[in-house]
Amino acid sequence: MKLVIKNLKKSFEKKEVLKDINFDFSSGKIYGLLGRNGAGKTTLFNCLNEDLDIDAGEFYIVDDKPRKIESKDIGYMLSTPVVPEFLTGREFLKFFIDINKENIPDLKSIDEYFDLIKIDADDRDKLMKDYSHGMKNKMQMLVHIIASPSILLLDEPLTSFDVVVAEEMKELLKKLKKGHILIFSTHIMELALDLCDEIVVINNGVLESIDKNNLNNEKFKEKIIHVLKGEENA
Amino acid sequence: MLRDFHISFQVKNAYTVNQFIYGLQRLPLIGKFIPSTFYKIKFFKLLSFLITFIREVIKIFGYKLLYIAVFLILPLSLFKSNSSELFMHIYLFLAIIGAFANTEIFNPTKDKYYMIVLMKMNARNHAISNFLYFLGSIFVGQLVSMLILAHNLVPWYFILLLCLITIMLKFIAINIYFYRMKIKDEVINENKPKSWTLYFGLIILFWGLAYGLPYFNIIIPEYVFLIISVIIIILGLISIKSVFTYPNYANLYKKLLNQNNIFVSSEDVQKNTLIESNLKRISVDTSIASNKEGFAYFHDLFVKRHRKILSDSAKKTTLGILLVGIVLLFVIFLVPEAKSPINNFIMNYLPFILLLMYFINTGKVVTNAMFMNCDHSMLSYRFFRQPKTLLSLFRERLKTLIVLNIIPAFTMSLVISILLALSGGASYITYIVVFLSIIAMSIFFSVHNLILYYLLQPYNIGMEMKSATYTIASLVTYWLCYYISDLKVSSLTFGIIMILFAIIYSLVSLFLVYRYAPKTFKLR
Repeated sequence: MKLVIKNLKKSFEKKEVLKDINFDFSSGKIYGLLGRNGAGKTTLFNCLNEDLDIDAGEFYIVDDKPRKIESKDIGYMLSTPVVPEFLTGREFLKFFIDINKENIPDLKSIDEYFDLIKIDADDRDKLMKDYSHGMKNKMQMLVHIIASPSILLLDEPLTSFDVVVAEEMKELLKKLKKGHILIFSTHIMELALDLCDEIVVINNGVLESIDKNNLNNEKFKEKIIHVLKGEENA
Repeated sequence: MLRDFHISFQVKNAYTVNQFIYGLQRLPLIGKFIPSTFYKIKFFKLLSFLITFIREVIKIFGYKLLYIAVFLILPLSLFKSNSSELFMHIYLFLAIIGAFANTEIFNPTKDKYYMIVLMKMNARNHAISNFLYFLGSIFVGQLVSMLILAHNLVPWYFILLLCLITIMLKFIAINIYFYRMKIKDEVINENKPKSWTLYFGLIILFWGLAYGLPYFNIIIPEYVFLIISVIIIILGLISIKSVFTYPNYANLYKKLLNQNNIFVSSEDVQKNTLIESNLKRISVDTSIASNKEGFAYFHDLFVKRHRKILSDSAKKTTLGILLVGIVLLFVIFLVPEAKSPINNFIMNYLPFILLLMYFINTGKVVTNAMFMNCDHSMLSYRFFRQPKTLLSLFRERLKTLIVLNIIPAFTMSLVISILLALSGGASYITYIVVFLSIIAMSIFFSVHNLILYYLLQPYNIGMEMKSATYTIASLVTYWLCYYISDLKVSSLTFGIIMILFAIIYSLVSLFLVYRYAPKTFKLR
């Protein structure tokens, strides 16, 4: 499976944020999306998730042949976790599973899911309004893991986790990548290098893949920074 | 010091213009055409200088003129007096209140926050230069205002004296505050007194002295006033020095200029209180559960955990209607003459009930809670926005909203029917029409509020209301109800029209929701 983006454009007022995005993302990989502040990472995600209307271009999935992206194909995890706070964690999962039953591959029990993201038994029946930031984030991540969409967009997902949980989540994401496309935006280069199979940089409104080409991590980092600064061809 | 004043003036100027442009950009319709490049256009700096200048002129002269007119000239005319002694008597006590309530030095303002905290300007220089400007503007403002309004009441040299003691009283008040800070180790904030009771008690006391004493013909004689003035001036002169040499301005402002004192209504604070107050509406009762499935389950829990704002308010309204009904029932039994007007009212003022139903419908409060505590988070999930999902939840919500609001409406219908019967009765058909039309009104408002929410979803992710269309639609609804409530039309005719309208409106709007809500119901 592939996610193909062709000539995608998006402007705000007169500012062209996405000038001409062309890229093929393949399943089984985690892509690290790097870009400077305001480069358009979130805009790209919002376009792919159809929260924003695009000005020009197209994007679609290619299985055997090209097809339109449906709602169930895509999951978008926001950097600030949003969960319905009037529900307990368990109720949220029950509701989510009720609604999405037909689309969930190998359905497990609710407690098994809680075990997966290591939420304590005591917390499972508490209202989520009393959850910590990190716990809300875990719940949000879990819902996406359960739904298992073909494409998962993650906007700075690990920043609110403590180091231990961040490690657990990284392992989870690595397990999840089989058969999926994970696009992971971050400002933390170490995280990107550690977790992602490919580094993609968004700069001046275009998307480009950075080849590692047998470089060691230090050299590779330098190369990425060059690109981020817009000095690639300098 | 002059330089400091100049800089702080320029900064004020800069953010006045920025606020102005920011405000323009947020206007409906026009806002779209105001690009952000406006911020750097020189012309606007000039414009903002003009705004600041006009604002200052209004502050210096306009307010003072108003103040002298309302608090001095008007009372004098009520006392039917044109005595200069009475004028000065009242002025003195008002000036004492003003001296303590409005010192400038102890007023935490945004200007001070920007200049002293953010831009690290020397606190003493900023405080004193602005204080001097403040005193100057008071002196000139009061002087001119009194010369204009009171020149035939008070001789000019007394007017000058009054202005002088106003200034001196400010110095004395500040000095007393310094002293209190020293012995009590606390920070004085003139906008947040330690005890509001004491604060208002003192204001009432001095108002009493200003206006009450003359009522009993006790007025400070001129020679006593002169003695008091001399004392005030001497004390004032002593205080001047300590205001200028006070060593702890930096420390004072460090404590006074904390964000809570300044940004009481900033967006962040507002947003946080909004979130908190909404989260508080969620019931923490652990016994709440639901045995339904899917969306019914989700919605059921929402309703149960928001009982306070949902069913409780319906219960209260119902109780209120019953109470009014019982009172009117008693009136009918005790005062037979009241029968005819009550009967007449019900027969002819059904449109007025429409306005009443507008006010008691909980649709707006409920949709607000739906957004804040539920849709705000759920709308970021794709599955929640799928048409099938969205509409099945819409159905659940519509049912709940109608049922919740129909309880008070039903009670109202019943009460009105009983009142109608006991106050002289009406034709068989009138009973039915009045009864059904009130139910129809209730359903109409429930449908209306919910479809407005689904079709125009007015909030953005920051929980601000962003839709001008929604605001206009709400205003138009209110205005129409208000207009209709005044129509002279028999209840029978109006009732029939209302029932038909409610049915047609509901059908059309349901069609619109099914057609368009999947597109319109999303985060802005």
